Amino acid sequence: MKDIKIPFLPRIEEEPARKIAEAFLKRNGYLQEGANFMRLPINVEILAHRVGHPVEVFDDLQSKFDCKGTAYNNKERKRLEIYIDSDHYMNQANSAPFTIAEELAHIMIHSSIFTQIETPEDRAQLETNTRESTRRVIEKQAKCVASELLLPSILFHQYLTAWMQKNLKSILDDRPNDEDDLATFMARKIAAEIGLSEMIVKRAILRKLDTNILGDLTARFGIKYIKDVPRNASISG
Amino acid sequence: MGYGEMLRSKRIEREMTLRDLSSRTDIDVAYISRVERETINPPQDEELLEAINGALNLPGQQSQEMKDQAAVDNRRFPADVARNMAKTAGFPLFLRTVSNKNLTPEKLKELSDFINERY
Repeated sequence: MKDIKIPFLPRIEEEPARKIAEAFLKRNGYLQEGANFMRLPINVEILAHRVGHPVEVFDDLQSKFDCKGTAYNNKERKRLEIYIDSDHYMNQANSAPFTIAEELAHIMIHSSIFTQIETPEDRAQLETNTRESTRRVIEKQAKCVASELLLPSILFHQYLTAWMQKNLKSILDDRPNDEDDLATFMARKIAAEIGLSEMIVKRAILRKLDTNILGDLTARFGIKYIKDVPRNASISG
Repeated sequence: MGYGEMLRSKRIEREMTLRDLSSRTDIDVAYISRVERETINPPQDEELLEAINGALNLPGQQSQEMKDQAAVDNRRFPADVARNMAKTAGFPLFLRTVSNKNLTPEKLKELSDFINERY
């Protein structure tokens, strides 16, 4: 049985992840000045192809190897590819792009691990034989970068600004109790508009970056949370 | 470049995902993926080839090139050529003559341009 070696993992949390993803996207012709923030999410499947990591769809990846997707070293073609389960890809259209983004993120930041993955069994091995805490770090780092690849902060901020402006009345009518409540409400609406899952969008809304996007926007639009409003006072901004 | 690689390149040019192509053609997504990475031969069925070309919105000449490449990868004559062969007695002789010359693709193009101009 193959022993997957895990190298030292540098600390990559939300803000460094944003910088890594942003630099990667810019290097590959995305996020140019005037980029259309209404064209979110970034089509990571096309992006992956363009940077030389094609997405391939396989039957039974999930049922046989308990794996929705994996980065995979195709030695014959001398490149890392992204394999995704066909059922997940076709039937979970709002979460499959995140799976692809996560695997692309692994290729970007964990290539020394994923060049060792040469069969789906190797990926299963990585899941089962890696210490839980290490595995969590690897997954969390990939998720942070993936979120920034799909919904880059720089564009998502503009998107949210326009969205809040347009939907201010419904936000106020919803009377959010706190930041999390507001993020849930917005995620539900936006997820339906852009074809991603609520969880992915909420995560993007609540990203802990140098700039607190949600805090910044609620201040700008004068949105108050119920918990912060004195009894009998009006909640609207 | 084989059919699979041509298909992938045209699909990506159009920013079309595998799901988009599968949905527009009603062809199984894992099958398209296998064709694109050339682990199986391209479809031989003309209707499938037409459906793919239609979904990609390929102009006439590119559409023909795709069908020709599919035939070449399947080691067959394109359907329209095969139909004409059955009708024209001198066709096998002509093809054998050309085939024995081992012409490069450039020379073959030159020859077809000449025939187009002359006949």
